[in-house]
Amino acid sequence: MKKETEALEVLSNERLAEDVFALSFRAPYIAEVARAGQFVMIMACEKSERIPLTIADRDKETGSVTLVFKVMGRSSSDLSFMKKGDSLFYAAGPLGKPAVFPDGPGRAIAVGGGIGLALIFPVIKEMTAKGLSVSTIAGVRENKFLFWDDRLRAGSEKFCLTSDDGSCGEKDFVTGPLKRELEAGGDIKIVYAVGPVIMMKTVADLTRTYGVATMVSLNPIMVDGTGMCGSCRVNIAGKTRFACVDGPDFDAHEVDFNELISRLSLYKDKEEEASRAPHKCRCL
Amino acid sequence: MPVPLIKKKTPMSFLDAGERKTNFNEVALGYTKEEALREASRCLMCPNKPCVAGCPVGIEIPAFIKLITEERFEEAYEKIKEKNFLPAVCGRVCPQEKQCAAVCTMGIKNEPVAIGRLERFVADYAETLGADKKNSARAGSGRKVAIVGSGPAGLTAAGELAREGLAVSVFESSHEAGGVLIYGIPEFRLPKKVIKKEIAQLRDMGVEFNFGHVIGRTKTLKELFDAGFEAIFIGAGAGLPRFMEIPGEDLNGVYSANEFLTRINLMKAYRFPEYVTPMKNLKNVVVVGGGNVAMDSARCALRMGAEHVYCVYRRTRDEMPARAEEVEHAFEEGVDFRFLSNPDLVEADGKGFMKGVRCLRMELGEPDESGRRSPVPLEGQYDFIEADTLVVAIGVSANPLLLETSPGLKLNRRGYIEIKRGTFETSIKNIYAAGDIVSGAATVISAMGGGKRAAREIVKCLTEHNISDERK
Ligand SMILES: Cc1cc2nc3c(=O)[nH]c(=O)nc-3n(C[C@H](O)[C@H](O)[C@H](O)COP(=O)(O)OP(=O)(O)OC[C@H]3O[C@@H](n4cnc5c(N)ncnc54)[C@H](O)[C@@H]3O)c2cc1C
Ligand SMILES: Cc1cc2nc3c(=O)[nH]c(=O)nc-3n(C[C@H](O)[C@H](O)[C@H](O)COP(=O)(O)OP(=O)(O)OC[C@H]3O[C@@H](n4cnc5c(N)ncnc54)[C@H](O)[C@@H]3O)c2cc1C
Ligand code: SF4
Ligand code: SF4
Ligand code: FES
Repeated sequence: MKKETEALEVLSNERLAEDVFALSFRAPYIAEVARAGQFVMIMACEKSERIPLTIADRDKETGSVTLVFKVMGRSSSDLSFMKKGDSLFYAAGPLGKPAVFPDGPGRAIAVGGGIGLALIFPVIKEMTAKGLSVSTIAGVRENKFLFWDDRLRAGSEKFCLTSDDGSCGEKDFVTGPLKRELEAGGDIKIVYAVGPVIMMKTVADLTRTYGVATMVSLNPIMVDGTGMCGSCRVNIAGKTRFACVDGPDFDAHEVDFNELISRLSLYKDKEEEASRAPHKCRCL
Repeated sequence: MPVPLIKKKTPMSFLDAGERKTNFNEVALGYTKEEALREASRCLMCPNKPCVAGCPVGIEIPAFIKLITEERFEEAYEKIKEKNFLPAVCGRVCPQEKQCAAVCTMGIKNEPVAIGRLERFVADYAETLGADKKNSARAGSGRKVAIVGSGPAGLTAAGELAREGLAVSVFESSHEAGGVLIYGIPEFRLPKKVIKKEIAQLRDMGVEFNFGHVIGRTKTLKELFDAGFEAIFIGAGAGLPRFMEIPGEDLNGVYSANEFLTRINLMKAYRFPEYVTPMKNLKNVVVVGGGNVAMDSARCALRMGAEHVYCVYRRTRDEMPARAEEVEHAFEEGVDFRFLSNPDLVEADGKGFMKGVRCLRMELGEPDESGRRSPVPLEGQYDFIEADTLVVAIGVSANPLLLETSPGLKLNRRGYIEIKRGTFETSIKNIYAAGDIVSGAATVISAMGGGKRAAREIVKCLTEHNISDERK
């Protein structure tokens, strides 16, 4: 008979930039069907939190799934310590609705900020496959947070890099080059943005004035990721939606970003406490 | 051999209310052997056995009670297991006063026999004897059946099918098996080790568990057939939390009961920071609702260190759907009940958090279809409760995740899966369903009863006639 629950073996865990890791593990049941925009709920070990991470890449042949994550608190830190050959405790997915893109020909703009650099990678692939000509704008705070720029450049028709302090690419926010692209016009079918909430909010404000359709990938706090808890509720066009089942991608112009920012601050004090507590779990 | 009639139920010991609300230890301690023998002796062994008909799975109640009186505990356990796969669970959480005990002959003039407590005693005692380790799977055809969801419905179906020698794979989206038994019902009412033991038994019988498999996303029902499963049982529960749809419900501090209980029970926030999932610091907590879910939320809040826990319910104590014992316990532990009251606004503190709940006073009007008198608002009469946390426990509906991705699966008016009466088959051939996803939120034992009867149908189809040939 088939082996009980797949072993979830770690194939590699590589540091990409400061506090940023790319973790690949075997999960054929996820790799086989994952699409751009979807995520997994993952636990490094039994005592970890269930956290959502976007599927940055996957390989159907080898059954591997790649996640790129930033060490934020305790659970992402647990993941960063996983070594090749270790087993993850749990991974569920793919979750969320796959991102939907219009058909080409026409232009598309992918905007990624911070960890979003990794998350637009599958998006670019899928938009290109749809016959769209993709301009990519990647933004980081400074050079030490930069990664995968080569991959993104190779995958896009046009590529632009910004940093807050000018240590790499242009010294600007992503909205600088985005404005140029929007001004340049052409048949822009869609803008897709993923990154810090505040970046997605400014992107949404900008594209609204140009009347360009824009999608963002929201990241509210999640617990189950399957529609059972309501923790991930977001306000879309005045209606409550569950990001894990109705999203995580939504029409940027309908999102109440202020509410999202407020809800993300709910456990700040507790997260600091968890990070300070002595680590004793199996995977460390 | 006439024995003097004992009119009252043998009392069971409980942890002291003051002590228990500081921890998650089990509250009800169960009978000792002597207490069980005394309680068993109260049964009249009625020839017409009304109690059996009151039990959704039809346990031979007088038969197992008789075996207790003869101190043949292992056989009593086997007797129960013939009908009920999870006696240690049901003995603890069944609303007996509405089921078997409601129709007990003793109950006409005196107190009914404490059937559930006896059931629990037998299950716990059997464990000490090692009788629960017996594995009764029989060699069979090895034909493959998939089970979606590992709540009581799914686990019962799995056990029933494995016992008949079918190859059973369970697909569960969470990281633990048990459904509501694990994520909803708290440790102090149903210790998790009780469920883990039952699941270990299923594994011994060859049942395979696949966690992290969300049917509808990881695989669709059709893809399960493509993978060689000949029949599918759906026991996905009714997991979608309902909110009240009142202003302020999106504020920080407002939880669905599902999230509140999941953080505390499944993710063990009560052992934070050893377990990493956080729960915010609780001070004044308002729980809305009057069912088991509300009682569990309120009592968890107390144990998480809340100073004051209110339970706001729009009817009165008499209409509360929760198990009588749990309501009593909640009172004893100091939950502050506010009957005939219903929140209509969550007030904001201006920084994204809630600071209180405004409640509208109600009175009872005419009885509705369910026969309960329905609450009517008293216009303009409000109370304000200062609170940092609101837990909404007003019910659930069907989670659309699986249903949306399963074209051809017929739903009823309320959004639950429609089944053919008697056979539990859905509108899709060889797909069966039972439990809360069919009935809406109900009870553990009714989910198990459904799971069992659906499994019987599956066995009948897979062994008696060769469905895959015949029905094509
Ligand atoms: C659908 C989805 C996809 C995501 N994909 C990625 C990804 O690919 N890579 C990545 O690095 N991050 C991603 N995130 C965010 C990631 O889930 C959080 O960074 C992670 O949960 C933090 O966990 P922690 O225990 O390490 O930190 P914590 O100690 O829990 O939190 C640290 C900080 O992160 C914030 N936070 C907590 N939970 C979340 C959350 N669920 N989402 C966002 N912020 C949170 C808190 O406000 C806190 O300030 C995604 C989130 C969602 C909802
Ligand atoms: C807090 C609380 C207290 C309760 N107290 C009592 C009590 O005291 N007595 C009593 O009799 N009843 C009680 N109930 C009700 C009882 O628990 C339920 O009626 C019963 O658990 C329903 O069983 P089920 O098997 O249908 O579903 P569930 O127990 O809900 O299990 C469903 C399972 O399916 C999984 N699942 C869902 N969708 C998918 C999918 N797409 N793919 C894979 N897996 C999936 C879920 O993760 C879950 O594990 C209580 C309920 C709650 C919430
Ligand atoms: S399973 Fe429930 S209803 Fe049936 S006998 Fe036991 S306590 Fe009573
Ligand atoms: S109805 Fe009550 S007294 Fe009669 S057999 Fe059943 S449990 Fe015993
Ligand atoms: S994370 Fe629980 S409903 Fe979305």
